[in-house]
Amino acid sequence: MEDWRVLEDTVPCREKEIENILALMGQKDQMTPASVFIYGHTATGKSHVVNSLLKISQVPYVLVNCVECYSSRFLYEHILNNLSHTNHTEQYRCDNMNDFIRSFQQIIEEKNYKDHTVYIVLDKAERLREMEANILPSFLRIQELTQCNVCVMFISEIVWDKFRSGTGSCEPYILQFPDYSKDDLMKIMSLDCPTDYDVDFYSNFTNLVLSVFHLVCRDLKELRHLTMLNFDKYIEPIQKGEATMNDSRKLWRNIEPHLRKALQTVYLREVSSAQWEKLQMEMSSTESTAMLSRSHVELPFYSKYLLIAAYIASYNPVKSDRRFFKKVSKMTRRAALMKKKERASNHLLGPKPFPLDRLLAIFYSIVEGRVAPTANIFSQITSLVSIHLLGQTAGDDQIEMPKYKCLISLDFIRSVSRTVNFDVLSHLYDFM
Amino acid sequence: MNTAESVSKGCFAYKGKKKVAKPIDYFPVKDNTGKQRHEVCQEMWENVDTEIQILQSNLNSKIFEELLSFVESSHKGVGRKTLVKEIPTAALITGVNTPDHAVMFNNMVSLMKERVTPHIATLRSKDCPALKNILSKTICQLTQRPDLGLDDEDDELIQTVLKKNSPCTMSTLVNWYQDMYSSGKSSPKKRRSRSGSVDDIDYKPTLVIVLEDMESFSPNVLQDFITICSNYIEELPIVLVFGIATSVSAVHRLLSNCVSSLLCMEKFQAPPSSDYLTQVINQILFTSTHPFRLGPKVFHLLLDLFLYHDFSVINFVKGLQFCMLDHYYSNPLAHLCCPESDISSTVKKLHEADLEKIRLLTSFSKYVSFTTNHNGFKLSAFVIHKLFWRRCVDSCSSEEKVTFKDNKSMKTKVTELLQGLHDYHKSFFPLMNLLHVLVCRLPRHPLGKQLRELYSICIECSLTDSDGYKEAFDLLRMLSKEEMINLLTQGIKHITEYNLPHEINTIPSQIETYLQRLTLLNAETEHVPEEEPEIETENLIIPKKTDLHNLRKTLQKMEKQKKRLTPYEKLRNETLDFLHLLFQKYLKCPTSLPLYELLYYNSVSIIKHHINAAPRSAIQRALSTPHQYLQCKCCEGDPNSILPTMPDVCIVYKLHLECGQLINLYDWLQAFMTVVTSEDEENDAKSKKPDQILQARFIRAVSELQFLGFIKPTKRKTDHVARLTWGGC
Repeated sequence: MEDWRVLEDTVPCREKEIENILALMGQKDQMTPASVFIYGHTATGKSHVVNSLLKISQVPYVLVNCVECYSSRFLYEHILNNLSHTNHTEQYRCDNMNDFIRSFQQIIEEKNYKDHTVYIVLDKAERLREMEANILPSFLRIQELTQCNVCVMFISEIVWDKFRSGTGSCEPYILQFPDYSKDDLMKIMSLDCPTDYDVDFYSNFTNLVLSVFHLVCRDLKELRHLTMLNFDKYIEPIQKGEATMNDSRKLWRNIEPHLRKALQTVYLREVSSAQWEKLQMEMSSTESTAMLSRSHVELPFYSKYLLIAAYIASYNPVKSDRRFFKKVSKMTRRAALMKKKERASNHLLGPKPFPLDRLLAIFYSIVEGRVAPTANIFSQITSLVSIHLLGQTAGDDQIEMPKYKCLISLDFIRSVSRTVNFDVLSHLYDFM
Repeated sequence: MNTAESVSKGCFAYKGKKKVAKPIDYFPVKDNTGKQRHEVCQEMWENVDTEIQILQSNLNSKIFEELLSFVESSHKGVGRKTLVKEIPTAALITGVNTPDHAVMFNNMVSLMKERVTPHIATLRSKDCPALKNILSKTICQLTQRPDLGLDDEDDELIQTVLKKNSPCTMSTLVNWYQDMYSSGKSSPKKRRSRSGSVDDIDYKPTLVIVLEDMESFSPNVLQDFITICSNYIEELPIVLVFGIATSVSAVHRLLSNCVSSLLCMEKFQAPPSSDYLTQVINQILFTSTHPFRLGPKVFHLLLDLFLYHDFSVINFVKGLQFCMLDHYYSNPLAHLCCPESDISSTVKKLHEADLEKIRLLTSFSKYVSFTTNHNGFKLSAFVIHKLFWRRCVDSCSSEEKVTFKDNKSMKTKVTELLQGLHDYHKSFFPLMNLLHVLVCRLPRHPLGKQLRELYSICIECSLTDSDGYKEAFDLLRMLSKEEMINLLTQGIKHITEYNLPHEINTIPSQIETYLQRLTLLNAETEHVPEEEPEIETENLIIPKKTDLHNLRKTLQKMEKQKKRLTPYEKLRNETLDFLHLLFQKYLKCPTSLPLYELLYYNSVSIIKHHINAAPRSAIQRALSTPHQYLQCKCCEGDPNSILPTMPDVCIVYKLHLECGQLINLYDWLQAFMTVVTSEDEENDAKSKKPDQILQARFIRAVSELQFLGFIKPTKRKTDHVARLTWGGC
């Protein structure tokens, strides 16, 4: 069992966890806890550690991703088929837990796994909670039910407390994977070092990346992606011959603005590396267009007004409509006083649902010229819903007084209203 | 008791022949030209349709080209050194004109099938409410034979077959893929489908999954689907294509960080649909090849629908088709709206009655009265007409009236006039384009930025009289020499693209000469203009005593005279005058031409009813003025009054208009009964105790109103209903 030492190189910074799991696994024929629950944040190496450990220790095991098995049947069949290694002409059919236990015992018998511990790894185990109520308890007690030497490993990002429900479940052995520290992250990311560059040089670079991004993002995956994306830019001066590897100050000055820009698009993955390069070029010339175009949407004329009306209806209290849209409006003393009493901004509370009629009433009072209430106007509302600029909250039937919500931000509506020369701020209660 | 009788009574259903409506059946029987019109219409529409389709395939070619190369190269990239493999994803930003997207995606998919990979799955959100559906849809479409056509029934079939054999999971797909393209051997069929020369032997086509309307997918389903795809990205070369109507930020609204980080997106922006529309209009409406034309109001309406409502070119084309159909259907002479080559043959076939109809056309009778009354005398007032119709006018002799009465000469006249219309269009569009080039960059755009704006001015009224035209020419008179030269060169370039008819084919060379003179002017030395003594004398004219107003006037006049024109200015004015004459001659309003009704379709109200319908106002009108629909005298009267003779639902509707948000049913019933029984006022006691029949009528009317969407039951107050519309009568 000294094989796992190999892991230390490929899976650094998880020595303690590996040791723990190995201790739980023991020798091949030894009994293990019926179930092990492993949890920790995204990208803390849970699946990776378990998968590689099981691979190395040459024990019978099945990996299941619970996202993929959207029904319990697929879950059972997946486990059975993979355990028995059947070719896909004769597949197991299994609909319920009872059949599953029986077939499982059968396979153990056939394959002569009696003196091995069989491992079932259920990745993304939180999905099991949404399936039939008996699945989770049954998997927790699988040793008891099958009378076999079997161990179920649950891997999840959620703590065990959130799994408890109903009766009949027994407690698994709980193991936590803690977050990587900054040093850990650096150590792991240094593994990605391209072959033609020095490891120290690369870890120097990762250090720079971490210093910029560590505050906003600790996800190892994202950090690795960012490092990869920006490394080419980092070494550009070296390839051009403008700097040497040791010229770290110069390199830093070169890369820093790029990293700062990348900071705005963490997690977005909107661009591939090639496009990112292109974008960087453009951004240096026109500063804000790239960010603007992200959310820019070209809309038909009346759609714009409908959207503005929807925004006003969502963020203004009904009572204030009279004030904004009455032909001759005069703000009374009382109204002015009332305004002061208002405590929370409507923009903090989020959009409120409004009925269709209110939307149309506001629409007709803000739109220029006479607009007939044609079918096209109504179908536009529906198409705004379909592209998720509006949301329908109640009344699926058009006749039954549907209610909508405006789902767009203030910035968006301001840019829309600017294109039709409409001052939306003067029609909003919060900005009076 | 004779029971045999009742037994013999029965209802027997015979399966009759299915009646398919023929287009001919729609024309009235006595309408003898219906068939002919229908044929011409179909022919015309086919021409237009093919052109639009060609346009469509050309339009997106650039973006498709990029997209295809992205899909092709996405899984070949050896240089990429990412450790965690991301799913290559193309975010295709399509714009909000959702009706057009189906065609666009169809084009894209067929292009991709041809060039990149036979395995493409297209998913629509309405088919994929759950993960199960999205997976089974994907797998069904990917595993089907590439050459097998797939319609809905087949789809079902494959689905059931698959279900029997193996579960619809990704592992099934992996097995299938490995069977098909296991390393080393590839079937000859696959070899054929690969594009060009691919150096590696184990060619593996990518699996493309197109999500047409990404925004409408349920986020949970989509996230799970992407997670599953990324689990298998090592085994399956999957490429995702997202069709996004709004902007890329939609992706991040739908997907969580951990899912979106599985993607490697590249953004593709489809050209805006207004570009497409411009192309369609320029190609279909602004050429002389298609005789059918939209009148100014209809053109406006269709454009407004596009710009104000949906941005959908498909809808615009559908509108155009409708206009065409209606033109040929409603106008009994529409078969004369045919290609130029068929004019004489069609005119030859005209009947007596048809000729009579032509004589009744307003434009024709106007023309007749003009040619007969003003023959040679008052022509000066109609000099513009004369310029164009010189040929016709010249041929008009004193026995004009006889000509228009005689059928044979009438036919030749009609042919001549129609030919004239076609000729008019042939010179109209090149010159309109020329004018557009000259004016489109002017400040404040007096004649519009787009060609279509200029066109709508041209066909609506006389262009040269319009304010915009005058303003544009005033601005043109202020151009600098470089600008002028630039504009003229561009204008020549545009106008020579047309196949100019021989009448105006000298225009480019004429402009060319002006251009040469302009350029030569540079070399010419500035003439020192001789001092004219006139100015001095002018000075003396100022009277000794004058008021301020007059003084200013004289001074201004003097100022004008004082300003001498430089040679360039003179030449510029000369050029512009030449152009102005051209425009005046050729860009006339089509409504001033005889027989224009045959080619121009302008019944805007019909189109409005059909394309831009207003269902709610129609219902409201029907309920408030029922006599218009029922054609009865008894309900006639002031629209606000409630008459007992009206249908129950109308009475109930009118009564409910007087109520607020909530309506008390009992009060409503009382009011209803008062109205209904107002004629026979027998006794008041009766109204206290509701008549059962009246009550039933009332309830029925109320439920009809509920069905129409004016009220709905509410729980806020017992015995009340809520109003769903606002506003009183």
